[in-house]
Amino acid sequence: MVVRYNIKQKAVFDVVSSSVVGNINEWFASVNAYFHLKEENNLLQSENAGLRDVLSMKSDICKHNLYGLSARIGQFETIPAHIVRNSTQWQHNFFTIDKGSIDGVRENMAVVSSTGIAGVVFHTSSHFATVISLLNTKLQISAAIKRTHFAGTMVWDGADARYSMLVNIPNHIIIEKGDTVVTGGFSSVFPKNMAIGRVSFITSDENSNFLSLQVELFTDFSCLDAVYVLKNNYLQEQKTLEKQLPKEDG
Amino acid sequence: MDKRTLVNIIRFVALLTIQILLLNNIVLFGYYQPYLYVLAILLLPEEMSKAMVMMIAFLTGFFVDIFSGTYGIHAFASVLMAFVRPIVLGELVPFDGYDKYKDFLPGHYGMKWFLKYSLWTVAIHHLALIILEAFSFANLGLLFSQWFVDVLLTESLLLLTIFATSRNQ
Repeated sequence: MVVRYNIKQKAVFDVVSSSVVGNINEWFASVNAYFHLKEENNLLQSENAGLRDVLSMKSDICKHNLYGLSARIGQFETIPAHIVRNSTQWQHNFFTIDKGSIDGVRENMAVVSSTGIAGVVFHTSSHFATVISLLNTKLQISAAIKRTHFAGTMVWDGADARYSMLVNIPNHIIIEKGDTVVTGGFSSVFPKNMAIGRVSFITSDENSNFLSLQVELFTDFSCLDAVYVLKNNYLQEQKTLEKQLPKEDG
Repeated sequence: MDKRTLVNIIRFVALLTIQILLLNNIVLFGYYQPYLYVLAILLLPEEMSKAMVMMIAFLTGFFVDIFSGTYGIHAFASVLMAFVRPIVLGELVPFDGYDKYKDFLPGHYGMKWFLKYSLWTVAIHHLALIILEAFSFANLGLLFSQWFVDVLLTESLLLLTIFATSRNQ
């Protein structure tokens, strides 16, 4: 995953996620949450069902844990959180969650909902964290077509909160409408094979030799409430190891 | 503190509360949102100095920014609106001039006058807001449609608020 973000005004976000503002937003979000209780319950119920399915395949559970083949048992820790402020109408959307550095949330951690991925932690204060939403035109995520394993880049086009775009897939790959899009393997933020969405429209650009796929997102950002922050326990180890690689550009 | 100052302060508090607690959570089709708080800046008294209006506009916008998690765009758009306000007022000056004891309400200078005044200022405010947030012209058509609908939403909500709160004249 690539986050190309050089915002220097991080200080402003300190204010945004600071106690007073965060608490007021939290209070209102708690009122607001009642309006989405039914949808939220259905989501959590279907997630429970999915987890029961995983449990029932007992023999496999040691090898295939929740986050797919690439992750070891215990590699990812889950921190449950609730959204206290969200937006969908801008080109660069962020949301705020009610868990912060005290709860173990750090920058660049993955945030997922029960249906699909939701964003990447941008900045934390002690009790809150701001998250770069998937609906942010600056956020690029490595993603792949589940059926063919071809990897591309997921980037929002700023148009519709229900859809995002998967680009950089070569023209010769045969892709069908309805193919599932999942997170790619070259990311230390998201576990491999986490659901993102479903291909809903395919456009091929004759000039560029690349396909541009419209992806219907599994996560409904308009009434998103319960999310999980994923903490990669081996991230530091991986980074330390990778630092020892010889630098190619000199 | 005279009655007029008090009315203005109450207006700011009420409109900011509505904006932050209610309207910030109402986004039509995930894309269109009214910004009612601009009404408080529109209705500041005529005799207030330009610098003072801009200062108040900045604080108002900054306040909205903090609660919306947007970094400074409301503050910018509000200050810009406060800057163009006297220019628009100058263009629209009625036959017998402005009465400094009257608020800029449709009941005082006529509906047509108020529509022109509010449409110009709100349109400039929203345009600055949307363009500055996107900071690119990649989705220009989309941004303009958002601008158009946002202005309509704000404008209708603004008129509704005025009619709902004004006493019979």
